[in-house]
Amino acid sequence: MKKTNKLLALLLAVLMVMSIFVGCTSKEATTDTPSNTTDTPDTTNETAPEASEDREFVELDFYIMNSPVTDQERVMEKANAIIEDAINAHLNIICIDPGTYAEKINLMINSGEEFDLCFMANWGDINFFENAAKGAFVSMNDLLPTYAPETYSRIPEGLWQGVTVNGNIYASVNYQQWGVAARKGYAVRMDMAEEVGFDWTQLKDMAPLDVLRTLEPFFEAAIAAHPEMIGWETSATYSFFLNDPLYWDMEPVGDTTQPGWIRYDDPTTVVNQFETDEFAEYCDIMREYYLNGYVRTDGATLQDTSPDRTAGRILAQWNYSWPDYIDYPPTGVEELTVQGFADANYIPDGMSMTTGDTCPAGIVTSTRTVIPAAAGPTACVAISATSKHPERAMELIELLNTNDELFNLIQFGEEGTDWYIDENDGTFQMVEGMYNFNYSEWEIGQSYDPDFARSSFGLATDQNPIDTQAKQRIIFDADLNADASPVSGFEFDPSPVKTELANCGAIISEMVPVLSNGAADPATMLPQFLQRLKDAGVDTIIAEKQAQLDAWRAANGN
Amino acid sequence: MPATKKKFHISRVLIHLIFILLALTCILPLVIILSISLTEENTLITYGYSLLPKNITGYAYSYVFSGASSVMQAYGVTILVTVIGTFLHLLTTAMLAYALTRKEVTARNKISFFVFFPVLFSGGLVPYYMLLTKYLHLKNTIWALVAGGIVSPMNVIIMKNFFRTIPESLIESARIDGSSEYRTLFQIVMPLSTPSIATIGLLTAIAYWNNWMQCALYIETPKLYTLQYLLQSLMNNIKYLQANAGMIKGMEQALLGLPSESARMATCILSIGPIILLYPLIQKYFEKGLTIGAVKE
Repeated sequence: MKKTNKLLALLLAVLMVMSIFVGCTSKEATTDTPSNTTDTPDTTNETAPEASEDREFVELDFYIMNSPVTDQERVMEKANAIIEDAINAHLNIICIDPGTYAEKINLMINSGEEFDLCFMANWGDINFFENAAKGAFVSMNDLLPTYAPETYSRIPEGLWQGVTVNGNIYASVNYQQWGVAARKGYAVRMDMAEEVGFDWTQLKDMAPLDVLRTLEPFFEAAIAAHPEMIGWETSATYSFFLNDPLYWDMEPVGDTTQPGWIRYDDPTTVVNQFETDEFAEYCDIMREYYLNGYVRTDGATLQDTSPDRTAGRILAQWNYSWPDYIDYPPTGVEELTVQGFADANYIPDGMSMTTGDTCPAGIVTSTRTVIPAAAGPTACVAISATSKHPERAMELIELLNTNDELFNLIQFGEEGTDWYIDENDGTFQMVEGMYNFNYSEWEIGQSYDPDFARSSFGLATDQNPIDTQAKQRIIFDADLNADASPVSGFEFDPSPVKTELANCGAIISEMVPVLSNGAADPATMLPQFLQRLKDAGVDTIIAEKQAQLDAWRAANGN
Repeated sequence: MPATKKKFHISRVLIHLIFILLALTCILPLVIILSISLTEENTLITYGYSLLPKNITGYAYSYVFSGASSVMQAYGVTILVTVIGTFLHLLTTAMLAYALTRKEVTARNKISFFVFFPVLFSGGLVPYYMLLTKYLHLKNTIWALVAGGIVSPMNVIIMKNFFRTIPESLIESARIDGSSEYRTLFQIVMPLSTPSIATIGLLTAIAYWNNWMQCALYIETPKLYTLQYLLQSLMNNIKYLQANAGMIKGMEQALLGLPSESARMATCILSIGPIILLYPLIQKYFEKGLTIGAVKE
């Protein structure tokens, strides 16, 4: 009896394991479906252009990642009137919650569901490259010059290469009003810095470790005076080291949080970023911060930092906006102090999620200026291979990118009802409780416009936006002239080291929040962390990345 | 209990202490959530969380019930889905289980195999999604929310075992008296099975009430969002947007538009809602129901 029970249990276990595999294979089997269907749009490509006159009316479904939008029907009715006039189609924007978008869109692609357009990206599990390689999208090589000439010509060439897979452009890049060239820096609470006599302009062009050290006396004095303040923001979701390689003058090969980065100074060698001196010292400094009370004690588990930000409790933080006040002095401001801004009647930028009149921020940049490798697919629109009207979808992309009236209608709503320009100070204002696209306009098209007609600061008429426009021109110039990342165009194929990546990934997401918030003593925990990574096969990953990078360099002749 | 006084014993104190602690770990988080939902947002930011609200305000609740949030609508959808879903679930489960216990059904072993096979081998998410959207065209309808849980093999097994405990002679005599098969099931077998129906009904109702995955996958209009999905997405969106805020400058602004901490917690409290009232109502059946399927004759 006992023996049969044991046998039964064994059988059951085997069946369970098998059922897991059955689950896997069935998934893989269905992923083939989209690649089969890719043939259909290709054939329609050749026949469609002739039938452009008096064509039938079509509905286009466009999936984006967005929270529900108030009054969407009212505004989309107006927008569809414009679209119908231009291309005899209706646009149906379907908003999927950000938390579920990645899963949902991948499921739709894998099941070969019919839709026309979708927002795509290379972050947050949205997997642009994987889906493109699978044949989920229509190749735009022929469609772009024919149906979207302006979209095609307006964007720097390098960005199109970023969305090219196997020689095919699979997405239309959403070139944004803020450009792509990046230079990062810091924001420091200007009023508090002045109060304790800290000169924030000295952080300009400083290395990150020096910045963290220089900030220490400021934190000490400011927190002594204002105990409710937090020096440096820490959280479980963001690590100043791991999530922001540009500060450390490095660039990820593959996903940012995977082991394996290169240094800009030595772009041919892949290094394990956790074994660098920078990471070791960074952990030491964060430990000091933690012990001295400059960071939240629960930083290692904190998921949501927005309450701290909106309350204006942060003394200094990383900041992505450039040119800063030193590169481009604000018009009319003689001295970069709270008083100086007040004298010029100029509202400075605020700290993150606050405004400049309550929490003025001193902004300096410190990193080099680069066009990141992944700039193209950061935000783009793809046409599904299951779409019945790929040409019309392409025309819609062109229309969204070039018709400012349409784009502004979708992103801001109707002028007068949903937004207005304040007559007194010329600022752009949204009407509370009315239509609000939740600032997701960067998903549906290019917010870039040479005259800034597609941005709130382009529509506003006060002093700050004019400076903003001037600053943006500096960025657009940099987009054309700045150095592109040394790994632009290189795409890391993770499949040979999948297991190692998964194992290391688990260790990294467990240990990095603890180390980069100072919650554990790096003297014991850092070596332990590195050893665990070694046991999980980190060296195999680095070697694989190095091999792929070498092969890519050889193939591209550098 | 007779008046014999129980002896004081250290182990009794210890046992009580352990259970008091366990109960506290269950109750305290709920109290804190309730307290946050009643606290003013600014107080929350300056003083942090506390067990008792510092200054009570109903603002979060009035925000949740106002037009700016779709909680009321979601409430309606969730209640409708739970009621319809639980009813259909009990109906199909009972009918299927009953048929499988009847010896007159000649193919019952084959049907049983068909029912139990998916317990071990499931097709996975993608075929399931394709079935519902491509072939049944349930996407974006309320039926997509109901369809997922209409029958569960495990509940069929439990119900089947329970039906076996009903004496065969009872059913036979009903048939001799001229009762049809449906009448036998609904007027004789079902009333005798209240414990199992109550147990399965409660579990199913809770499963329907708490299910958000179905809504995430098949619903695209906010009008049909269920309460749990609304809550889940409130929390998830914040996490997702923050983790990826560095990718796109627009994302930080998108974060600003999300509801405040107290509004989120108010939604959380509201989502517990009526389902908690089900427990005391069904409790008397529940105790008996727990042993269902445990003993087989």
